Amino acid sequence: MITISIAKDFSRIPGARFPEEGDYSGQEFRNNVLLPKLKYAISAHEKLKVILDGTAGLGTSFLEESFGGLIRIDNISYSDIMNTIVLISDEDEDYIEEINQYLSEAYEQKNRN
Amino acid sequence: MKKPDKYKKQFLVNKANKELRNRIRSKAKRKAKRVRLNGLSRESIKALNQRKKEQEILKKTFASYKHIVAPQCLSMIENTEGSLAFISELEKSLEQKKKVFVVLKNVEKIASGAIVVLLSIMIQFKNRGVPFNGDKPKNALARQNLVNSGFFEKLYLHDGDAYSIKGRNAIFTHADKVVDSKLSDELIHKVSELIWGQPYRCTGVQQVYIELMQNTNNHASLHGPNEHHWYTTVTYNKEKNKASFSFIDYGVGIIQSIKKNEKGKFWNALSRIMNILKPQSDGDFLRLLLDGSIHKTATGKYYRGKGLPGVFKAFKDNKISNLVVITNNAFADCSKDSYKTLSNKFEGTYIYWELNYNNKKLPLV
Repeated sequence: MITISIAKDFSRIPGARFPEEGDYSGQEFRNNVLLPKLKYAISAHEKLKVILDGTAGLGTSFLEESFGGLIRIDNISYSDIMNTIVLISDEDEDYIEEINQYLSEAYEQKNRN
Repeated sequence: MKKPDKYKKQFLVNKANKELRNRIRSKAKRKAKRVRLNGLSRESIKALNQRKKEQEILKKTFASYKHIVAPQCLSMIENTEGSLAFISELEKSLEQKKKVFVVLKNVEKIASGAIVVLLSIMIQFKNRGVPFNGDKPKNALARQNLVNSGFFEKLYLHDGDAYSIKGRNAIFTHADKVVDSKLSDELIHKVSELIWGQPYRCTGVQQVYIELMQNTNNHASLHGPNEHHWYTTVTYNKEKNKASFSFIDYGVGIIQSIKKNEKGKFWNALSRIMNILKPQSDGDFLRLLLDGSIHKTATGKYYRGKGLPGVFKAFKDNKISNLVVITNNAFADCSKDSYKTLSNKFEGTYIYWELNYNNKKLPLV
């Protein structure tokens, strides 16, 4: 299993959605950390554990852009994401529910378009 | 022609009466001053006289300015209507580019939120090149609070769009246009150490900051992103062992941004929202926005955390306390479950919350 920790592999203080809105954005996390590992995990048929704990706090736009953007921008299929990513959030379980919601919304949006 | 003696006599009597009246008045004044200064040290008397002189100089120097008198209690929470009426006067003058002198001498109480509102207005005046000045409150505590905030020292460090005010006694004031998660983390680090004796992570406060900064960046203007500043100040109350946070943006305000922004995410669903939820007033509209009903009606989905509902959720989850939201003419005091429509408008958004010993926290990692 491959593991990513947002706090350790990206930043302890994740910020906004886009780089122009502030540092440590969701777009940067997705492009530089999450997407390369996810692509590798999908091709290697491995699970990708994403640890959400340990940050100062996560904004909704950061999470939406990081995970919803995988479907909306990077055209990764919903089923590949759901079959590969394992979300870990012991500190706040709501984050997992929130991310799953963003993924399903992005999927529905993609299908509508 | 020489005046008759009886007129001369009457003139002298009148003159004598006038002098007597003046002597009595002066004596009464001297006596009142003695009573007023009784028990005061020589230094205090000197300071009082000095302040009086300063007031006179200020009055003469700024005679051409429009004098706007602040209310005795300058607090967005305790005297919302009075403070908003005062702010509205300032904004009117800013729009008309009139020089303003803020009369604070009668202020008996000034809260940190009101100070940062004043500060943000001062920065707007300065940015537009409109002269802005003011005096200090006579009340010692109010004066001290204002001085400690760094308001008068004008020692803000200006770095592009970012401002940092050098306050004293655990008062931190900052302004910017972008989402600054590092700054909010540092603020939390400092105040959590004051509250719990060692620094902690307060993910709720961090999330509130990120949501509010992002909102200001994205939605505060009808013309596009990154137009308006946000301002925040944090003060720590040692007696109550709590930190008070105020966050302000001078954008269009949340209610206006929903009802007037044709590019906004709720614009197409606005008539459905109004028909189904039937908000009774703007105060009620704010309640529906905070609890997520407006988003749920607009999208058909439960709304978990974005923007204001995210702030409200942090309050409900005990990550923050005493949440108050003032935007346009809507007022929400969440801990009292009080939502009302104000007579005076706030052209923007003011959000206040507290962090205390009983709120949720996480250890540093």
